[in-house]
Amino acid sequence: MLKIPRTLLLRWTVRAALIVVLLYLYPYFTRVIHLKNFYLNLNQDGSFMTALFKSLAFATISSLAIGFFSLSIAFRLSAITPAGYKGKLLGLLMLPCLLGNVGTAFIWKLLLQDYPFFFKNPGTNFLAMLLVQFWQYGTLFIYLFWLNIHEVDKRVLHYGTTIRLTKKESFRDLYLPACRNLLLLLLGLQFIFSFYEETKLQYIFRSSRGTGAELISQWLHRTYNSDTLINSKYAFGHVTFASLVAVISIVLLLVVLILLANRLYQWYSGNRSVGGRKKMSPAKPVHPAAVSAGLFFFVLVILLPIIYATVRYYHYVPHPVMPLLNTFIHSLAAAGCATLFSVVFSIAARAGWPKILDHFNRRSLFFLILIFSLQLIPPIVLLASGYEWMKSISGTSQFYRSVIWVVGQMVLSFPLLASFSLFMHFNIENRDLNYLNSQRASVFEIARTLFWGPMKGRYLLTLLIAFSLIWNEDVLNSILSDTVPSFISHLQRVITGRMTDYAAGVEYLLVSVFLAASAVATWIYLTSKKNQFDGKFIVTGYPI
Amino acid sequence: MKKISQQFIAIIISGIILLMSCNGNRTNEKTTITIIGENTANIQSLMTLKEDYESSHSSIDLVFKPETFDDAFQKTNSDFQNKTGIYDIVMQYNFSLSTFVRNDYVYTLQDLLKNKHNPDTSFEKDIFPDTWKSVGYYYNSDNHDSIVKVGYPFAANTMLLMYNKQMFEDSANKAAFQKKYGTPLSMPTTWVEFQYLANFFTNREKGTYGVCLEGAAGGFLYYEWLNYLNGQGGRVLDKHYGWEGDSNTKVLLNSASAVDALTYFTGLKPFNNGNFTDVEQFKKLTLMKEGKTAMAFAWDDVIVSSLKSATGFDNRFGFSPIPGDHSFIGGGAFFISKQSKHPGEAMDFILYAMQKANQVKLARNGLSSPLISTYEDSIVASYPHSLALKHSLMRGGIYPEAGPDSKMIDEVLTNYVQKTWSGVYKPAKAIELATDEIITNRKTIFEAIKEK
Repeated sequence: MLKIPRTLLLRWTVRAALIVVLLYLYPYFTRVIHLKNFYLNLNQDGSFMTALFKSLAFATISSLAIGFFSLSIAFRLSAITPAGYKGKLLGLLMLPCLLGNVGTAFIWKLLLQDYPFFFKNPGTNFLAMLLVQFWQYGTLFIYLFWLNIHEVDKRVLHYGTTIRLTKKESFRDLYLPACRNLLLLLLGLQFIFSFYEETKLQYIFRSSRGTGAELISQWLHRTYNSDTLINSKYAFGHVTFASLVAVISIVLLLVVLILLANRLYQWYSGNRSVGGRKKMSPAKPVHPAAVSAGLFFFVLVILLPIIYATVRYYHYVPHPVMPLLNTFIHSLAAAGCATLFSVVFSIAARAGWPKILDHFNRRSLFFLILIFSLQLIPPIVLLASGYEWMKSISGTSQFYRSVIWVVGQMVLSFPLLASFSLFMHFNIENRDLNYLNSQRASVFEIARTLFWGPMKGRYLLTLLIAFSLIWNEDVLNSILSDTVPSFISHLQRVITGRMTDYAAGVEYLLVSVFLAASAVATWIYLTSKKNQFDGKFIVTGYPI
Repeated sequence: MKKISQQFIAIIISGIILLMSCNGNRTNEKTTITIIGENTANIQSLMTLKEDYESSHSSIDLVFKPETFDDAFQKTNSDFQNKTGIYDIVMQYNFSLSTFVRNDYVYTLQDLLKNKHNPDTSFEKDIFPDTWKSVGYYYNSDNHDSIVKVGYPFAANTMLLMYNKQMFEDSANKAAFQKKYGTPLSMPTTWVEFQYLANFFTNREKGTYGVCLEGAAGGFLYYEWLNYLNGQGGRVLDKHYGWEGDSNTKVLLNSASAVDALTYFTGLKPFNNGNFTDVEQFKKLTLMKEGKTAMAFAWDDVIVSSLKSATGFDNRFGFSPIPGDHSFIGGGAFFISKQSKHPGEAMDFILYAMQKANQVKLARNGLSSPLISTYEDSIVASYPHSLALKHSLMRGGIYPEAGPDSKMIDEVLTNYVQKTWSGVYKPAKAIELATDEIITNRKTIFEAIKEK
């Protein structure tokens, strides 16, 4: 029997997974081949290029500001240890992200609508959006950086204290290297989220071409709707071409941004004059009161908008609430499958390309862009592609369509989960991989020893993020809402349109908050039980 | 390892069983009729007929799918384009007429009724004529010289002048108005009076405003502004009903009337309550309910859901037709998909819903009925907006665009009106640029249609 080399097997596993994911875009790729004449009409009224430039500008500013600001806050909160109650409370920083785009848009709509300042002009719109983006994503980034900071080897930190490093030197030489990969990942993610921002801008500000706050995703969406009156095929063709231009732009600028950030990092960490030693005094420990104040400030920042929305707009009115159990079970199943798929993929990738995927570099950047390719596609194209796939599943049984829903969610959540897992696996040392390979350990043993063992906690976090992504996802949930009732579609129905009812909206929001809070509580409970986030496996076989 | 494999397999099997249990009954002897529409008072009131209809038609199961406007629009078009036949009855607005008929997605009434034995269509002569012609007629796809009836209207919608009764009936206001203008304070019947009243009621120190205008994109500003455009004698295209026209239809927008309308509209800015660009119908009614704004144009189909509670209507507000001689005619029609497996049964339900007795039931539950006689029902007539609604629907005269270029025209006009409001353009320049853009884009759209 032909014995397939292990590395080859792992690499083909990865390639097969990528092909399955990209298969979702098959309708899109077939359209790309048949483009004609759309380029002539693309920027007829100038609105396409305006929207594109604004998206690129907003994405750049948002990602740099939120990325670096979150890192600096995490560093200032580093005195908080994971073991204590403050460390557990910090888990609340995950809450806003787990509410999703629609939930966040609803909260901030209620908060901002009475303040005309934010509606004055596009500048104030985008300023408010920066705050909203920070609330939704920046808080999660702070938490992830904080977790990462506590991954730094304690022996190294003791050494830093012994040689009396200043605060800035500690940050530059000890903590920043540990956060580099995560920083670049989060910069990229925030860039993509902001580039394709539509839901919050639309819902909070009713952004439009006329108000000067229209971004590219909204341009594509309204063009698609407008062209649908000709017919859907024409509409898909038109946005296919426009989205191709958008994707090329975002890839180019994303690569530039990440390389620039990486260069900036190299300059900063190599620059000995930064954090200079004019004063030969070591870093003073942060006053506990200051740390507590910082912690409680952020907890308030997270909770106050939710409390305000509830207190101001909620009153009990009996009305039918959608049955949630069906959606919950489907979402849980899909989250489990998506996490497993992404983790297996990233393990196979890490083990199959050990020299490329052991740290962030130009070659691993290319790999990441390939994974991100689905995330780089505009939401309206994902929606239109999904409707094309409906042809193949119409007339099938309800169970089959449920399975398709689960598979579709796995595919759509794959870019984020797989890239997150891949970055986690940068922590795995090549020497450990080589050691186990030399001992002829099976793939399963390698996975269990090097990956599953030390990273169980992080896989749990991935599962929680997967559940939130799927629960709040609004493309596939909308297409297949006849198969799996969509929580987000129900929420959108009561917070927009002619039957708007803010009280009902707050009820649905509280369900989201409850689920998000439960996920956070689960995470805090399980991680505090183990009293550690990850262990490390070194060549000698003794965990640290 | 064996234990982990067993655990893993057990989890997978449990997951499959759970998924299967979520999928309900798989065997269903009944004929299912699926109805999709935007989640409004229209579909919500129609859903109140479900129990009665199913009890008298035991082999029928009605499934309603109220969706957001976007979802209803995209799902419908996807279903028709891909011929998936998921939806039997589609409740869509008149701008979908062109797409549905041109692409042969839906049956005409003639197709559906010819297979019926003595269908009761006596209600047809009771439909507001302007409404039906505006939302349910279209060119015969084979012959543009003749018209066919494509669908019955599911509602008759218009915009009404909503006013704050307390502000109009306040004796101090009455005396002040009489002193300032020399005439009694009353509802505006002309656009000049409307402007005077907007000015009169605005007092920034007291926090009161004359008007609340819808300035949000997404159709809200477009429909709002059309009232003003027509009020000054302006038009967008040289045709009568919105669905009429073709590539040769003349664009009439660039006129003195349109410039006057835009000047008039932006001239109301000092009297306006709200942020304008984020105000849609719900926000507008919320601002009106604060009790500090004198007048606004309100869609009839949000009045009941916004102002009616278990104890009755919010009696702080009165309604009248908008100033001038014409009123907006909007709404949508029932369309039956050509991919429907049960077009006959679908038509039966529509005929049932259109009977006068059922229209009265629906109107009592919030529907703006397309039948004239519905408004003679004592309960429906007691609603504060009923008389104004009936009067507005009878007079008609303002028809929004409903051709394949309708959304494009909506977006272009919204863009330039918003920019004029914020001072980027002067009204004359805005109208000129909007006209040029509409002409250019119409060429592109009709060329694309020809190619298909």
